[in-house]
Amino acid sequence: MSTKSDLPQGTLDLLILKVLALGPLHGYAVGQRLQQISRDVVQVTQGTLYPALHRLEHRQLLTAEWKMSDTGREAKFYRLTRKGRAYMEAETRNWLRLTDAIALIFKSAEGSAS
Amino acid sequence: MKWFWNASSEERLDLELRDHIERQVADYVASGMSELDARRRVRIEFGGLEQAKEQVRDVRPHQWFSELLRDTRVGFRGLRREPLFALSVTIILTIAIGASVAMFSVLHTVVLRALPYPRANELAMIRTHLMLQNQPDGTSLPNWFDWRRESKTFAGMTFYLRTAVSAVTFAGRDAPQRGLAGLVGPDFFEVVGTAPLIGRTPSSDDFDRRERLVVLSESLWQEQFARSADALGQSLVIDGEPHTIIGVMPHAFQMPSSDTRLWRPISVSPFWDIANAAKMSGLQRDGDAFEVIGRLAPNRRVDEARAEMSLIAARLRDTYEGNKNLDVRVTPLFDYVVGEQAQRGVWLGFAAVLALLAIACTNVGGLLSVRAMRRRQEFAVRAALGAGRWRMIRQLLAESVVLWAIASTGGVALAYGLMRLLLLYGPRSIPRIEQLGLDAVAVMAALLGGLLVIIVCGTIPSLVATRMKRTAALATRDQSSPPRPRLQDGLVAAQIAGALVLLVGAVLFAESFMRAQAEDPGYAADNLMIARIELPRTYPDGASWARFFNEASGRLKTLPGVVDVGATMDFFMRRNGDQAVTVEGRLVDPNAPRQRLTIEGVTPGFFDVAGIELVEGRMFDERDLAPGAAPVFIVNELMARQLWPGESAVGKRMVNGRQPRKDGRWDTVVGVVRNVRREGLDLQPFLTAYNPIYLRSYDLVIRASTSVNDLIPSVRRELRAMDGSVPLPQITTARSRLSERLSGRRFQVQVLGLFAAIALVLAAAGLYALLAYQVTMRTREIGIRSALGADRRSIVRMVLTHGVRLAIAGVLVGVVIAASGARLLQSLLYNTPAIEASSYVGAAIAMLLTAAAAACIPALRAARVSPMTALREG
Repeated sequence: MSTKSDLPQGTLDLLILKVLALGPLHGYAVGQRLQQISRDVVQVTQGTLYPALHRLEHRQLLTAEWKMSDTGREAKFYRLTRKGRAYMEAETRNWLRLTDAIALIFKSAEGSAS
Repeated sequence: MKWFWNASSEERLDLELRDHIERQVADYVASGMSELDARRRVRIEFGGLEQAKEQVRDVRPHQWFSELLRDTRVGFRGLRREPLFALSVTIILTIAIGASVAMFSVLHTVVLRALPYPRANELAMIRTHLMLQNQPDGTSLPNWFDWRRESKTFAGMTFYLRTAVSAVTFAGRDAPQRGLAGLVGPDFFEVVGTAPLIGRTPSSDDFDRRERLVVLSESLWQEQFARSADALGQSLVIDGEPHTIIGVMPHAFQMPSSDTRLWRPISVSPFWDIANAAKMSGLQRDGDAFEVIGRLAPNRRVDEARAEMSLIAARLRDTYEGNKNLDVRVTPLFDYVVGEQAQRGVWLGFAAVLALLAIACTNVGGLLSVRAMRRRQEFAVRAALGAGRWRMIRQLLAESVVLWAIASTGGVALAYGLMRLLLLYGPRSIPRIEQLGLDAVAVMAALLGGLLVIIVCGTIPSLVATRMKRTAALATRDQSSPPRPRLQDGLVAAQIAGALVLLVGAVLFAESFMRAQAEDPGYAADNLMIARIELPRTYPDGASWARFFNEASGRLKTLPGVVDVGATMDFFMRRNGDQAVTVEGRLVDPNAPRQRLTIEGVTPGFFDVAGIELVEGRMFDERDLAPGAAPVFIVNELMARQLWPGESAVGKRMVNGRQPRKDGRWDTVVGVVRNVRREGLDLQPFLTAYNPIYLRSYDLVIRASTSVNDLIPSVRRELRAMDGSVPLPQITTARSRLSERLSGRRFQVQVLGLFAAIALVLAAAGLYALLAYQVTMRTREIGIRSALGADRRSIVRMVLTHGVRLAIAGVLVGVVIAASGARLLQSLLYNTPAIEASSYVGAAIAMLLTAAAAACIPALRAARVSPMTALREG
């Protein structure tokens, strides 16, 4: 299983935070949601998803609790912490600035080429 | 309880990932797949569950503790599967750690630890040095006085007289005790810098008033006064004079020596008059018995003091006739107390134990790596199941750490036992050894060192074993020969090299010891008893001394077993031989180098009692002692040859001293006797002249027909019955003194021999284990070879050649190391060149034979491999 488009380093963390900003989810749902929203462009394997979730949990950007879920089994639900929200907002701004800058470079490069 | 929490988090991770799988399956089923297909697909997509877990674990920090526990548990289990391996590694490491801890403790106690005085590195001995004889001598008080006045580099300078043995009578006891008593100069305690335990030390007023005072050692205080403060102010009779106790020095104060029982100010003795009159010239300034000790002024170095003192000595040489031959040597007190020989010897022992440790570690490293190679398949399987390389290394390391923990506990216990043995049976000649104990520094050093070593030993082989392509190791199932184990070959050769170095050392020291042991003492040392007699002042003159000796001799001869009794000034030389004689008709050249020479007073029968053979002339007899008899000498062969080369010494005339007598009389040499090794078998005899005399303090020499040890109590009893006021003598036997003198050398041989033997066994075992492993690994190859017609002999030769080649490489390297290090040993060897072909050849042959024997077993096993089984197993 591979991502259809390779994610730049560190972006997975930001995407997970974004998805979780809408409300608590369990791991499987996070993966599904990423896939849906990106219209299947972004696909993550559990081999990258779970380490990322645990890493974020450990950095206290996420917190987790075990709750009864729709399947009747207990599932681990991840939720954004206040620290996580602040981090996400800062990183989003950074990301946007960076992509704007890249877009600008692309545009001007095209302009000079023509 | 963290591991518990972690264990449950492990379960939760499992739950979480399974939840993921279930949901995925449910989704696929919802989209119309059969449950079976859905599960299969999920399993393919998901990959290994364990692998995923491992990836998650890797991002979880702070779990080293639980991981460690898990690894340790796995490590234990792994070791239990191979108890023989675990046992041998544990034994090897225990011995190596135990020996190292014990040896390091000795090094620390004897060499590394500072002397127990404040700023002890400022203390130095300032000793007179005879320039012509090139040997140290005592210092005279006038010279001490000048040194002290002129020196700027020393903040304080004092002196002591070491050889004063005093008889001390304690109240309520009739028999006096003998004890080493220091006669000390002004400021002695201040210069050394130790405060008394209780009471005070003599002040300069005490010296001026010449008060009869005494300071006790802690041990004497404990024995006689049970540590009671009432001791202060009490009176003690020393050599017949009452002295007032003013203080007690703590046990750590061991100046001049550790067996000093009490200290008296020098002002109680007539020497002090001389010191006070020192400003006057014309006093005898050379040849005296005082030892000067000084404390350097702050921030002054020993070499500055050396430079200054040699200038002062040069000035004194120009000023005083008596100083013509005198120079000064400044030695740090530490080097004086812990002699250079002892320091060298202890460092040698430590180097040997490090070599042993290195061999043991290499051996264990080899065992671990062979084991790791054998487990390549196991690791391959685990790698395929998702274990990371780091995890596998960690597990191998955990096994090492388990081994280390067991071995270091055992090692410390072993070290403790070794040190007890050393204190009980080891040589007394090592300075400060009595303070030996298991100290925290040594234990810590050993544990940390051991940990470091085993991590290094454990890591390298596991890195090698886990460096492989996962699939490759699985697929080949070790059918091919494993990569040629160059690392293991090198480890085994290194062990052989190390063992050879120890072997050469042991052979050299054994040879040196045997050569010293085989020296002829020059007298019949068996069944000879020596008792030191010090007559009290109630025996005032020569006639009374003669009476005492003759009565004692008569009484002792009635004891069954006693054959004859004689006496000599000093049976075992305790002084410098710094006397001189003048030969009739020969000009005295004051600049001629003088040799060690001593003139010894003996009773007429002494030579017969001691068994010293007459070479020429006659022995002394009673007539030589009669009033008005012509004074006579007997000289030893060395002196006869030196003074009258090529002619007979008998009938020649000479006098004691550096010039002829004023009245022109000469003493006649009447006999020549054999040389005697006075100080010990490993010390050369020197020029000796004997004259007949009865003395006040002397060594009573008793010849027995039976074992002398049984006679000691009755000799004591007899002397006691004769005169209770004579201090009971210390009695030794000549044999035990000779053997004691060599005890240091014997100990070196024992230690090195033991280390070398262990090293030899380890190296042989290492070689055996490696070859056995290689034969197992090459079973198939050997089978093919013999199927293709190789005969057994060529197979034996193949394995044997490999083993012997390794041994030769190790031996060559070892010889080079040993030969380049040997020069450092030279000063410790008696009559044995450190680079002696026979020692090296002997050690090399022993090593090669052992190695060949060790290689034979696997070689023969290789020859028994039948082609069929070998091929079938493949």
